[in-house]
Amino acid sequence: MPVAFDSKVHGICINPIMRSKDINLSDFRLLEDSVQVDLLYEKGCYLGKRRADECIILLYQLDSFYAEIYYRRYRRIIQQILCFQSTQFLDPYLQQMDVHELVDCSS
Amino acid sequence: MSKPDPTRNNFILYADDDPDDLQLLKESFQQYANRVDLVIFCDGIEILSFLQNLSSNEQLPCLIILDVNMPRLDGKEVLKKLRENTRFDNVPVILFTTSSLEGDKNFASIYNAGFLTKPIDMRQMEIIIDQFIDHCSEEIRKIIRRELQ
Repeated sequence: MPVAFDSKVHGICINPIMRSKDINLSDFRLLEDSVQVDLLYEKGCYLGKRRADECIILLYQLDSFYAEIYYRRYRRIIQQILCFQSTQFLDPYLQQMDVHELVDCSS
Repeated sequence: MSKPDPTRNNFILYADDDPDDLQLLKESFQQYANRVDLVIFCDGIEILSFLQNLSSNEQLPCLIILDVNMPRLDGKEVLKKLRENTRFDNVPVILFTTSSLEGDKNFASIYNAGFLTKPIDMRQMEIIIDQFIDHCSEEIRKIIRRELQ
């Protein structure tokens, strides 16, 4: 029988209070990098991926803000995490979306 | 698709349409390369057709890893079709995805599959590779890990 992933057993440890509560952008910025990563993993919603200057960037949404993870090595070594609330930074991801099927429903 | 090495018994199948994720797992399984082959596919149709074309005397994979969102045939549809075929009843399957939706987790559970979210950093990647191997049968786990002990 397959084993379900259990973060408590396997070392991704997030304070249970933090896990259950919404977190705001300013509190998130105060957290250690590894805690930020674990929170994004456990509670974040993956939204998209893009490339810029040979760097792969993943976008997650966590509660009321967004976090972009810039990789030096994809899904292994993080260069930086940029967090923001403004939707204007979502443009590069929105431009990748193919909305033809949604728009062209009359034909 | 890369063909499994017929001189070896154990192979893991992995289907994902994201070339970066395919490469990530290829590199991550490199440490077990002497014990198990990772065979990759770009979508659900490819992996399903490979499995359906395995003759009855051929070895079954020791694990199947499926991305959920794939073109042509997604991972959940592949899982459903596999579970309709009694030959694959005992083959462990994992849905491996960026999603952490409860609905997807429940789907995996209904179809007797594991569910793992794609990692964000190396620490998580190492945990997840261990989790992949944990899904294999005890015999396979021992073989895969033997070299590292």
